[in-house]
Amino acid sequence: MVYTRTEPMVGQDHAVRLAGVTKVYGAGDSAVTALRGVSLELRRGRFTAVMGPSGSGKSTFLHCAAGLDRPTSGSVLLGGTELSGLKEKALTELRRDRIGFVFQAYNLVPSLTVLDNITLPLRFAGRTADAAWLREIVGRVGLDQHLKRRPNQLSGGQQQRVAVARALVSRPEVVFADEPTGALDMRTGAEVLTLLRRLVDEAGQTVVMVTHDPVAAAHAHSVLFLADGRFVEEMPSPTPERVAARMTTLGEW
Amino acid sequence: MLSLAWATIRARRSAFVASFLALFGGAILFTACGVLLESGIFGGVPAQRYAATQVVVGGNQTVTQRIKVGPGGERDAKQENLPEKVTVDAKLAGTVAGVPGVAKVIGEVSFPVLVVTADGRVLPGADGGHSFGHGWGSAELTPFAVRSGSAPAGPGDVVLDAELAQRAGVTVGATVRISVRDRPESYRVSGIAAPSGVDRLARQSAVFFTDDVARSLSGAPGRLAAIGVLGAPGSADDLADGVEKALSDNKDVTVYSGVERGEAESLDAAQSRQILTIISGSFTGFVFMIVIFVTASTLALVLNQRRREIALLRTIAATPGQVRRLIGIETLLVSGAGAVLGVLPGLFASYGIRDAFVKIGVIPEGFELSASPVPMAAAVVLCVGAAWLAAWTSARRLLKFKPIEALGEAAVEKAKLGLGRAITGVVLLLLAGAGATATLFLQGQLAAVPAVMSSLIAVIGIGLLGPRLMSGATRIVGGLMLGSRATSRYLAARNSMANSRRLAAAVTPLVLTLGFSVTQFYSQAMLTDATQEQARAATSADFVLSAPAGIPASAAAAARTVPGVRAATPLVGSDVIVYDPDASEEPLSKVKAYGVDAGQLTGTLSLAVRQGRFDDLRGDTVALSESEASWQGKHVGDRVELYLGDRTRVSPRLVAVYGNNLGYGDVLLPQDVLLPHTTSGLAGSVLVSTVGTADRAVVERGLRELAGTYPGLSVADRHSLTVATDGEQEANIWLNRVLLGVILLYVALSVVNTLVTATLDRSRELTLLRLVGGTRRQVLRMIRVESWIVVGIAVVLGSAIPVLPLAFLGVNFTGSPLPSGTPLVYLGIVAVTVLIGLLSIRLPARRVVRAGLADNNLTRE
Repeated sequence: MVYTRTEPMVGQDHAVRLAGVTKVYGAGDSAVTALRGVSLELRRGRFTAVMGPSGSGKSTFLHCAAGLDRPTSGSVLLGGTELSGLKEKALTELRRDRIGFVFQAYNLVPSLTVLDNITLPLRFAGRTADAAWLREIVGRVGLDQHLKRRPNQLSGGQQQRVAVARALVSRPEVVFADEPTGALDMRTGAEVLTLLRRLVDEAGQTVVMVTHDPVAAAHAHSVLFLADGRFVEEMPSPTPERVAARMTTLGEW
Repeated sequence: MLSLAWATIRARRSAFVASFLALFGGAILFTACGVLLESGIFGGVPAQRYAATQVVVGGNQTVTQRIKVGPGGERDAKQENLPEKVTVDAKLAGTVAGVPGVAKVIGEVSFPVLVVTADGRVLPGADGGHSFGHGWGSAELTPFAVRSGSAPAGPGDVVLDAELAQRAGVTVGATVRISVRDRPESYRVSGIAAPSGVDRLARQSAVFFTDDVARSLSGAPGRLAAIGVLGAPGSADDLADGVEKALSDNKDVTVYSGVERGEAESLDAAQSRQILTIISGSFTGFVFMIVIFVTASTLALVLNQRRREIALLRTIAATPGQVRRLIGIETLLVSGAGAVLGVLPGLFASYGIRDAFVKIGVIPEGFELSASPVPMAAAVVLCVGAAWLAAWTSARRLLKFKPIEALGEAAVEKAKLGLGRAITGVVLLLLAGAGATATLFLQGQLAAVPAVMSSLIAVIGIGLLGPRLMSGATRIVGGLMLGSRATSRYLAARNSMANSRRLAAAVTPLVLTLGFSVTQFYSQAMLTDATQEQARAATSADFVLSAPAGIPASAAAAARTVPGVRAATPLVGSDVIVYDPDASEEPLSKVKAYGVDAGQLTGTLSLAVRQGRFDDLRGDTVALSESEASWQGKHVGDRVELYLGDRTRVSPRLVAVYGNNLGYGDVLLPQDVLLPHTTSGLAGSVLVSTVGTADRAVVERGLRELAGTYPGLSVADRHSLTVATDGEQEANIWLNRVLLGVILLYVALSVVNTLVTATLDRSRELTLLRLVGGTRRQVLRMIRVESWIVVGIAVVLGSAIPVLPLAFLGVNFTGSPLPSGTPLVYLGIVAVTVLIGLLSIRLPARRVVRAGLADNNLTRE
């Protein structure tokens, strides 16, 4: 391993910490500033939703926090690891071992079976799956019966649950979810959100979810609001009504 | 609908670039082939020697025969072209002179001559062509005018053209040695002549004698090479019609006007026109097939990428008919633009190909292409038609799904093939196998025909079965690699197995071209090699005499006077046309014929006699190869109907049947019968055997001294004998190489096109692999393995096509299934295939993988 992995210190309760993160796309006259000095902590063992109107910088925030993109300035700490100094290869390995992703589009590899899709990150890491853990996550997402199937033989909700299982397979410190219910109907979406919440409550997993749906956000322990590239406030124990009300004050969404 | 189509094209420019390029390239190929084909019919070499004439009457260089069709019906059988110059009856000059509008009629004699320099070298004609002797009375046909000195007046006088005189190093008053069919004679240069403004004619040199001398030297008194007609200015067309009408019941002559007059003066022009027609005709077929395949696979790929978009259109409003119409219009716009823009480069390409043909000597320099709008319009129509057909089939497949299914259908393709298509493919492959087997049973050079045909059929069959074969092949290769611990290999195997249809689309053109070009090249190489090999095997002569432009038959008699020589026979090469009056379909067949001296075969020629005796091959007799005799159903004592090379009809008695030999052809005639009916009047070589006790070195020295009498004569042993391979065959080899090269280029571009499109289409998938933890290196390694799977399968399938036909051809020709000819060509074609495949997969993949993760727009739909 190229990066040094620091075990969480006692009392260190953040999974990810951003300090003064700024992201500017382009240069000169056409430069667009997506994040303007965002500093915040995402707590360990919590389900955090990130909300904001279109153009508020939600996606950029997610990309920077998850090591998919590099901030123009500022620092991102995953556990005790500073991401901004890492080389591409180290960053890939870090994402592989310590971060899980769930996307709006299920993004499964069509040529692989469900089981192969779930264990793909381990394959890249050159490890084999821990059978007990694999059984547990497959059981949790309810896919025991479908392991030999191809993604195109599953429903949307099932595909998204495969993606959740894949995100969990390497026992990541954080799971980042980007609009995970965006492509699902309300009932299937609710199932996936309940699944994520239970992972946090029962297994102590940390989950960060970007969404624009107040109902989805209400499944989280707390909601962080972004507007115009800045962190605005945190709302604990959200309800759909309160989230929606707060959003209207932030502008167009 | 039109504006919607246009908007789609503009929005998805990159996707349409692939279709555009495929059709652009297709139009280039079609136009080039079409222009060459048309030039084979209407093009030609402008007249040089007969530049001053309006109309030329020459010998009819073709033979045809009426055959019966059904009860009472009749039609002309396929005509055969004659290899030697056909002469014209001099009496016809009077008939032509009576045609209204004719100002003057000039009878032309023309015969090959060799000018020998003072130091004994034989000079070729201008531009490496021939030199021809004429009577001064026909100088007006060019017209030639005396530049210095005077016209030939006495039997010993000649006039040379200025360029020839300069090369020969002679001036007015000097002596020059000139040989006409025999040893050289000395003449006095009475003058130097030239066409107006230049020193010479292109590709031929002219030597003028007095009319009387020319007539006697021509060897056929009372016959003319051509009759030149000078008319009042501007009346060429009417004049040609008039002359044609006056000669309409004479089948022995052809009336030439316009660019065709060039053919009356040189046989090369006519032959190259025929070669051009045949070759570009057959290539147009192959090009058509390739363009269809390429267009279909490209359009299918592009449309498949738009599956979701099309499904969406159907969900919100569009009926299947509307979608089909939308796709149809898009295709029309893109293919129309590609095709129209491809026409002009296609025209340039045809000129480029012509130049290449000129360089390899297949067609004479100055050959004018005939480029009318017809082939260009045809190219556009064919391209648009091919594109439309391809789009229609792909659209039909897309529309089979219900819209919601289509929206949900994931990117995994199924290698499902229509049953009809599968059956057709299998039947074609079986036919190809049968065709290849036929190679074993056909005799002589005919055997190469089913070999090439069978590979062509196999190519179509494999094209049809492409997806199925690919899925089979990938399952085998993939199965072997699935066990691999390396992630990249495992993933590559899974991807290839899941996407065999996409692979098939990319690889089929590569397979087709590889298979076809390898068979073409090696079957020809094998035929050429086998011809020379069998010729040498049947030649037992100790020495072979030859000279650059041919050797006089009298050199054989001279060789016999050398002490120690046992026998010496001239070997005269020509073609004859065998006429089978009983045949209902193809009564005429052109075969290679040799003239030999029956009394001089001891120790020189050792063809196996199956029936009769070579000793009897004197006078009005003929010997046939075993296969020709059985083909014609002839036995010793029967009469054989032949046209000699200059259209002379003979029916000699069959006196001997000999074992088949590609080198010595199917017909042997007494050399003194064949020689007068050849244009050059020279033998190709003289075969000499020695008495057992003679000292080789002494004999060789004696033979070398003959060079004093026969300028340019050289002595070699039999291993250096090269028999004339059929001139057309030789030319075909080169023509094929040039055209195959051009097609390979197109296929290469189209494969790059498809593979790049297909790989870029996977950018989502590649980015996803990166997101779930694949390093750049791991993903690139996976792509590398995948590209090797694709390329490996293409090479194996493509190489499998020629195996059967070439092995059988080898067994037939040489008894060994191994093909002859350089392996470099095969390796070269394979190397190009591999390189194209690997690079066009890896380079775009590298670009995708190098791009930043957040830029790939993967996280959102």
